[in-house]
Amino acid sequence: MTDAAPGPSSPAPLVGAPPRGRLLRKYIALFAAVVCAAVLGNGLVEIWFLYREQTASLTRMQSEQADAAAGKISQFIGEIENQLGWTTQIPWSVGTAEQRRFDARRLLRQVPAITELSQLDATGKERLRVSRLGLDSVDGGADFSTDPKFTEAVAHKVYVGPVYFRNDSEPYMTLAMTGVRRESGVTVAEVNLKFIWDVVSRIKVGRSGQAFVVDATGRLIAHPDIGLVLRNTDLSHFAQVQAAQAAAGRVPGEADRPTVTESIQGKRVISASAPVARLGWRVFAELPLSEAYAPLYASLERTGIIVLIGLAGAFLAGLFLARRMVVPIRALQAGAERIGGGDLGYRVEVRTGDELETLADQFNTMSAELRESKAREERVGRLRRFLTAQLADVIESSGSEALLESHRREVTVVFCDLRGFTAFAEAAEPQEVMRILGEYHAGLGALINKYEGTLERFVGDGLMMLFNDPLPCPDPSLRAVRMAIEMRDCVAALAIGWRQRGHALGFGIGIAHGETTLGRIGFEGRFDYSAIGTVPNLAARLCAEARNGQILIDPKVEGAVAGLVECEVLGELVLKGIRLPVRAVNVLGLRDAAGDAPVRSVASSAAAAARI
Amino acid sequence: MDRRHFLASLVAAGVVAPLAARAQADRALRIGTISPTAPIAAESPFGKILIEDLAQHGYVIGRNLTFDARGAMGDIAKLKPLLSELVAGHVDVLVATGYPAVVAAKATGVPTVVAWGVGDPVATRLVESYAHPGGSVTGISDVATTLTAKRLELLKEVAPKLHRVAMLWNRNDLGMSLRYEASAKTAESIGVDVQALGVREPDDFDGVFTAMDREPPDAILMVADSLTSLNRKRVFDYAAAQRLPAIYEYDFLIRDGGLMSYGPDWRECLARAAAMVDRIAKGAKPGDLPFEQPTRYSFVFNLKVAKGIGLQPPPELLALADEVIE
Repeated sequence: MTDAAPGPSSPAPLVGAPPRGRLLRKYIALFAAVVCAAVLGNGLVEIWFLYREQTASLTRMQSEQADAAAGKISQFIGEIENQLGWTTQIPWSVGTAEQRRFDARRLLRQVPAITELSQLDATGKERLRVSRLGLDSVDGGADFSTDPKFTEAVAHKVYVGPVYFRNDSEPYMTLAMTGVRRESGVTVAEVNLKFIWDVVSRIKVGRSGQAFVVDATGRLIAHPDIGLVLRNTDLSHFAQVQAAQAAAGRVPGEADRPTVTESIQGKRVISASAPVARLGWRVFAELPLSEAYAPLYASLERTGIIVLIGLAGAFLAGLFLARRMVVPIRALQAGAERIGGGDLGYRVEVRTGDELETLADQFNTMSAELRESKAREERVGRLRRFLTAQLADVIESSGSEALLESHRREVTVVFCDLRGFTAFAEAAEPQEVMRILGEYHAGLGALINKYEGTLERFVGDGLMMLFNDPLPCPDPSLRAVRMAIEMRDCVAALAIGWRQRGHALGFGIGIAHGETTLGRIGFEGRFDYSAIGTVPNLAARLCAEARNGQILIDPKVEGAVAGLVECEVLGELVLKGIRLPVRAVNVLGLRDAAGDAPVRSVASSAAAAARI
Repeated sequence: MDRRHFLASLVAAGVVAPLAARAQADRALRIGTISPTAPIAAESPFGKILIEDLAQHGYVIGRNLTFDARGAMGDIAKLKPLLSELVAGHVDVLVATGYPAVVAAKATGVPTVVAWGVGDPVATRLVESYAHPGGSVTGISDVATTLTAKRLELLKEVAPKLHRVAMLWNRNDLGMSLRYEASAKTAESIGVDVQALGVREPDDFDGVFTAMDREPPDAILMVADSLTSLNRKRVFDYAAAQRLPAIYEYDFLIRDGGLMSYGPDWRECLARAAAMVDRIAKGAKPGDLPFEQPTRYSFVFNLKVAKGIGLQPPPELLALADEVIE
């Protein structure tokens, strides 16, 4: 795992790693959401406005086109009427029949849309008929006096007949006119409406739109696809035709509003219509929706493409960012694993220049501090072996072990051990030996800590303690003595229990004061702090001389505690290794605060009793 | 996801699809023309006009149009094998002229557009109705049956003393027979006898001239048909020699030496035929395309021929002519 140290050069192991996958998905989703929301929002707004504008302009344009087409058709019929007009001016009394026939035929030549022309006299009798297809007839005499083309024309000057279909196919219409004078009769023209095809097929509605004409009954009269007309197509069931017919009866102009509907060919179209003046016909201008809204679709397409590009961009950005994030995170993860595994010297390398780098730096700081802390712990553990807990902490927190360097100083050395311990240890069960030693050490250890003494060493039942070193204290000798008294009392109390178990063990203490050499001794892996010289030696000798319950002090200690303790002088002692005899004094107890009466503890009394 | 493949497929979709669409559009439209007489070849006068009209609809020879012309040269029996050739060439649409050719084309089932020359298609049962032809044939009518009477009327105007009109027509052609029957009726109503001179093969024309020599007519009405068209020069020569006024159906005959003609504008007929071919090419069924009527008719008069036979046409009639050849 630690081998898969992530780095830009080895992205392969990261692919498919679950943490990366999740980050990747999150980033891509986030970017996609942001990009798409922005682009779609913008696109929809644009499309909405485009739709509004497009609809408005199409509405206007379509209506205009329908109107224009209606105008053209009106004009087409109007021109035929004009041409017919002059034939009605001449009364029947004027001119020969042949002349009239010639005029009529010339009219036919001029107006191709008229297939047949007939003239009725004032009584409704047919006087002349000329045709493109059939035989001409002069004075045929057929009676049309009750025919609407005569009666209506007489009544209204102009008669526009309904559209009819020759051979059930070709659309025709009857147009009849009277002249200004009644005796000039009625001119009737059969108009081939296929000629309107020329008109409607020339009307351009957009690029692919169409115009067509229906009559009042909804039948198709003209359409660019002439086949539809010739098939006699009925459009009355088409929505736009019905709507136009319904609206025509109401407000004029309302029918002209374009509607979206289905065309004859089944396409969706925008349909606008306009009435053709006088004829009752309607012109429809229809533009396919696909063309009408082509800019809209183009805009939609653009938006779609931008969304796709945005998505791709979001994907790449997500990928990039996820990589940017994942690589350092994986480095941190690996670092955390190695540090957790104990490799406190490991450094996480992240150079991203952002919070992640800060985090990695903090990781490194943390591991350095852990390393430091661990080293400190080791040091403190070592110090605590020969220093009290407080002292060890002081030395540790002082940041150096300079206090433990070799030096000379005035110290008070306390030596103590048990009387008869060697014999006891040989005879007694090891468990019992260790138990008694445990009780003994526990009792004394607490007192050493209490008086902040430095436990220099202990060897079995023997203990050596220092005062005034390595930390100085103002009254080392008094402290030593106070501690010694309490130790004596403590062991005396313990000794009662020991005696009950059949072990006769005594306790003696020796205390000496003076300048001595101090420092660390030992070798790599095992160092001790030690006092060397005559003072410890003296203390040890005094201890050896002390009988059970005695605390022997040298004159320097005696001087230091003079007046504060009750003593008894035991006389000059010649001690091994000491050149001059030493005046030995046994401390009996502390004086009370006033310094008058000696305060003898219960324990010391008990010890004294035991001595006796 | 392989980015390169993805891009490649995008590009392919953008490039290949339009190319495929163009290839589809470039599949040529195959038109076959069938005529009982001379083939309406691309270089013939009618063929040129038809090809121009087709170009209006976007069909160009060598690009998206093949044009295969067959003509029986008057031998009706040849129509069937000729059509078989066209069918074997997988023609999409047939453009046919003349009743026998259309009947034969109808038998093939290939969509057929009639340019002219079938008379009344409903009466001859080529189609069910004008509005809904129903079968594989549609086209444009020449209104010949009706116009035959009109032509007699015009002859009468040129030669007011007209009593007997020799009518040259093809007995094998049902359309022609109908025309003859219709004009015979009309002739009675305007006080004219029709001398029916039906022919079946080119050699019959000798008999026709012999018959006219035996019983000289006052005028000739020639019904445009494969057989009669093939022999038009002989008719012109005979009419000139006998100083007989004659009327024909189409104006091109007048440019060839005929006296006068009245009939539909064949340019319009060809234009409509081309439009119908286009509709069929775009998927319409011929049976759904109404059989159309012409809208324009032209009266053409050859003054030179008139002078040659010593005819003085009424000035009013000349004034009504759409074209006067001097």
